[in-house]
Amino acid sequence: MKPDALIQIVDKWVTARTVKSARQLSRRHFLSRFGKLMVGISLVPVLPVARAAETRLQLPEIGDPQDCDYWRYCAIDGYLCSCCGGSESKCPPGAEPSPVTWIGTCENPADGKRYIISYNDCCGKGECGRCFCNRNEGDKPAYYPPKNNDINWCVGTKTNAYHCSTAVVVGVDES
Amino acid sequence: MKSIFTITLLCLLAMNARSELPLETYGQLTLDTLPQHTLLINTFSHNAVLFNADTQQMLGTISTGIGANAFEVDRKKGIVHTAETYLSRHTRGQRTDVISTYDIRTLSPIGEITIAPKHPSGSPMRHYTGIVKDTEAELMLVANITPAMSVSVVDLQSRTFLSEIPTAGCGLVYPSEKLSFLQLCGDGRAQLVTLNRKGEELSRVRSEIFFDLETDPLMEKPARSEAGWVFNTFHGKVFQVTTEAGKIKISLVFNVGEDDEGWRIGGMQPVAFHVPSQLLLLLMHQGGENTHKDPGTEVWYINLATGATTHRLSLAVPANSIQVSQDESALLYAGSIAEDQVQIYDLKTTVSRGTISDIGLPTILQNL
Repeated sequence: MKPDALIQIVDKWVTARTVKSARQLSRRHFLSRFGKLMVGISLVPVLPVARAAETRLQLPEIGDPQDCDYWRYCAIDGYLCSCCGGSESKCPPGAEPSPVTWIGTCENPADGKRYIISYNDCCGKGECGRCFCNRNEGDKPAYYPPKNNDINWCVGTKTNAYHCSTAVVVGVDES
Repeated sequence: MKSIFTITLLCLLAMNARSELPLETYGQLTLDTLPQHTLLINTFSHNAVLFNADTQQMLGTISTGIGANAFEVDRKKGIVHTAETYLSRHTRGQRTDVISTYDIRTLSPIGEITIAPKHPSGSPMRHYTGIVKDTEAELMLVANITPAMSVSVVDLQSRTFLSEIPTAGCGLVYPSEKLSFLQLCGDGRAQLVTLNRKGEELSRVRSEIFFDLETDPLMEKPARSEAGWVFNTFHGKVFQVTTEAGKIKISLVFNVGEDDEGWRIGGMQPVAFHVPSQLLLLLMHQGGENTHKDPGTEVWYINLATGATTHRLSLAVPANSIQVSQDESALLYAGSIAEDQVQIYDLKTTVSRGTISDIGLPTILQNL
């Protein structure tokens, strides 16, 4: 089996597990598992979900990451890191990505598929103040944190000072 | 000789004029008496500002730390409390979370209580804190989200941090009878937690399922009525949640917008309740799914007992937050982040009474 084929299988398995978990498990259980997954992303960059985030160029893309209407931002609430010296998936220099995050599901107009988006906040600097964007597709109230974008997600970082938000593609929603 | 005489005369005149001027001294003012309609406006700029809503004059500022969403007001003692976070090096360094107490007369801090460093920040939310009390104890509750959810309990009399109550699956705090508080849960229920005076949990009960998080979530931004709390769902179901003898009672009061399809409740602080007239005030906008945080263009007046909409007030500019003073000659406030202003209306006549501008991006509005 070619490595790419193996990776594709693992990719699908991880994606399916993530989506299934989000639907079926209790909030705490899901959070526990998803939190570990997110920590895992930051610690072990060879995991399939991390690979998906790294290979942005393989995604068909339409739109401007500095525009609030950009497809990945369907559930974002904050300053766009792409306007702050970072990108749609990377923090600006010196800003620390939060390993714990909230997730959304957005449709990519380039291929019509729905992707799972991890909205990692970037932390440890003052508020960027540029390109504020608030869209609430699938956003839930604050008593359900995994799907709430009001909360400052600078947790598990050196400090909780919020700087800006990214939108990292972590999988395909195959539901 | 003549010139010397002239200079001497001028000096004498100048000295005379100086002696007639009142002596001006520097100093600071205090808020010895609060105006009838004092509005406390929380902002995005780590400042809460006070205004006399009748004159639109600014009265002063309370400077806060990170995440000071709203204040717990004690008018009798002339103080307010808020939960906030401080970092020792502005955006880095040691984190300390505290409940700070401010004197309303000087708008200055007069004490603080260190709490668990788990207080959430982000978009302002009124119900991250609350106070419960009985005849002897007064406890301040602070919701924690790390994202694991719990509640910090602080004794305001001894000024000590008492306990942290884990509340997995349920969050926020809505004070209820005596030393008990309600929470909302992701499984579609409400939860009632009762404490003793030491901040220890005595009991915990959950209601039946009364909303569906996936299809029509219950919004976490209710108003307090005399009986309990008035909540709404994203789609417009209005529930009254009360407690009696340690049990939770849920009643569907009515549906808003049934006859006006497309109108939704939304915003940062979209619900207010005027106790003297039993009037429920809802911030409404036209929109569909995922518009639950959109600013409202109208305020609907609804009789809580009957569900009848008695008036629809068109706002001059869309608003994110509403509040109402609790007197007979009440004022309705509507805060707009985009326009950086608070509109003021006479609740009964619905006539505009003015606008407060240049605030610093208003968020949660509170009566003082």
